[in-house]
Amino acid sequence: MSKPALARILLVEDDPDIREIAEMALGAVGGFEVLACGTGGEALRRLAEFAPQLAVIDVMMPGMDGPGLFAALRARPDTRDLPIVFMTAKVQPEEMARWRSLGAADIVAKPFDPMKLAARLREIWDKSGG
Amino acid sequence: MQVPDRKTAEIPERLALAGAALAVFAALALGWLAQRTAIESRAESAAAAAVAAQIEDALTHLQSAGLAVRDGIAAGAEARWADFEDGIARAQLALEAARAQGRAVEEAALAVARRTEQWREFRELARLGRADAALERIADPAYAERTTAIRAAFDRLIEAERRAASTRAGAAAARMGWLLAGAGAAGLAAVGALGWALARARRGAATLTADRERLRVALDAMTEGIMFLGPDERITLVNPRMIEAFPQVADLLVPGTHLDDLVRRGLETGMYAETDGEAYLARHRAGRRAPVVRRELVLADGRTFLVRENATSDGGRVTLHTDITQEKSAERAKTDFVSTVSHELRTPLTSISGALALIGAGAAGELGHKARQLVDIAGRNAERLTRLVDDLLHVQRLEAPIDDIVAVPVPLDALLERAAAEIAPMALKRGVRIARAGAVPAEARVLGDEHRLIQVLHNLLSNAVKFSPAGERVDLAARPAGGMWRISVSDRGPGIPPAFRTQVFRRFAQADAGDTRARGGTGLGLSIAKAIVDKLDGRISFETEMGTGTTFTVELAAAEAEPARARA
Repeated sequence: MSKPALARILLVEDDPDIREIAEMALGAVGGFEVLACGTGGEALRRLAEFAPQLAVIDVMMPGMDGPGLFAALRARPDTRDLPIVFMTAKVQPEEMARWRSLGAADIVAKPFDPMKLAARLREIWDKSGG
Repeated sequence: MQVPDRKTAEIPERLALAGAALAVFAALALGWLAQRTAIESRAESAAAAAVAAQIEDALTHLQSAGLAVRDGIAAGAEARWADFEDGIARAQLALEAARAQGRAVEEAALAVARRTEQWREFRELARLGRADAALERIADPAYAERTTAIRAAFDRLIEAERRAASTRAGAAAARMGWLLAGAGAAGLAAVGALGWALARARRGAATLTADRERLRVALDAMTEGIMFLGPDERITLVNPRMIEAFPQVADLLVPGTHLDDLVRRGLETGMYAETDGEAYLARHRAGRRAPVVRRELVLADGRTFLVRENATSDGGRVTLHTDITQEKSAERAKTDFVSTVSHELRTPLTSISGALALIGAGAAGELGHKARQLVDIAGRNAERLTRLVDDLLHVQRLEAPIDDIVAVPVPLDALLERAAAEIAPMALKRGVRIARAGAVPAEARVLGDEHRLIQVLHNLLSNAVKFSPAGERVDLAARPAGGMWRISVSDRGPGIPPAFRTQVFRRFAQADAGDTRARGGTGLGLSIAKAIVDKLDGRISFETEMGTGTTFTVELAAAEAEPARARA
């Protein structure tokens, strides 16, 4: 059975401006169905009914940060295999290596080009094991 | 400190030893001559004495013959005439012997012959019964005179021989004296030379010892751990600081230990922060092949050492271990700060440039012409701000006092290809073409760090593209030059104004203030390129002509195709 097309994306970003831009880039521009959350907790509460195919998570967040949410998602049976993309402004080589070593499907560096984000995520989706 | 070259230091000693050997030889030769002279002179002198004795003998025999003649005449004793003949014969024999030795015995021989003739006449007279006549002749004073003359002739001969014997002995003694003196002088010279050589050697040894002592004191006092390795990867020397710094492996920090055994012990004792022993050992071994090694050694106890290795002239290496734990922690604080600032700048930039991109793309509705122009301006500047933040991060990283650049052989052709491909979209946008000029063999390698080299070439190429008029091309070439590869990036831009040429590699240096805006650069690209090339022990330079163009050249050490043994 071939892989379904990427349609539903979970977006977790604490910065409301960036969240707004990313949501536009993925929804209005990219044509995805997007669940945009401001915190890891909110995402964990809401994702069951949304059933995302891929998650885009900010790394630096107050409370539960990106890696924390990553671990929580991996611990849940329904999101154990969810491809997770980190979105971060921490882009020094050793930082990038750290995010990768956690098991992220890929990393999107901030600032990102909102006109290219959707295409980038489709690429990641096509490469991911799900 | 410079330890004198042993071979050079030994030259005077060697000369002195050669001199001593010559002097010994001379002494022996002269001594041998003296001894030979002594033997010869003694022989000559003995021969002269023998001749003198023979002549004396001859005289004695002659006298006995004379007595026998008197007896024969007076007593008519026939038997005495036989004695007479015998005496004469012996005298003649003795003289003949002396003549055989080269002596002038003619006078004496003639005298003997005359006297013998006379005596034979007397014997005839006596036999004829005229003994009185014979006696009368003997009593004649002329006969006595003749006898005295004969004696004198003999005595002269004897005297001459005796004198010769003693003169020869004297001359021999004198010659021997000279020879012995010469031999003695030569002997003394030999002893002197030997002594000097010994003293000098001792002094040389003392100098060497002093140098060694100074070296030891210096090594002991150093705050760096030093380890010398032979060509066989075995330790030849470590200083006390090295043992202090690595107590876990102290017992193996002795001459003769193989480096692999040392690393293995470090892994066994959990000394290294890294726990994957095999991977660590493999990387450690691979790292040793680079001619210049700078790496960081992180220990499980939190300490960090900067390890620098250099090849030594004997094919071995010397490794310096500097404890940089404090510097690292300071560096980390700085890096954290810069990283935080970068993050804090990027977050609003994400919103600004993201919003501008969406507006510009019409995601928020169609824009009027003027509005689009303004959004483009804002977007370009947001981009520029982002690049500035990126470059500042680079500069901060390059400024770090210690940076773990490990130079490894990097395939040159692939490097150039990648750099050209990365810049192609930007070049295309500006109507500039990147052209690879000349072929680079696939096996060509340069020593460096691939990521950093790409950064260097990217900065040079983007600079060249920025300064190229639309429709022109930028040449990217590489050619070998005496163990190095010269990579050049040439543009056909306006050239660098003379007044600016000394500032080219300075940070935020741009030929004119308008450049930054016109070209969209940050003013950091070339300073970053230079910092990287410097760290790789390479060279970066440029040639420029106003109105013609500029060529930047990066020289990097060539490496063997296979990273087998970079050290000869």
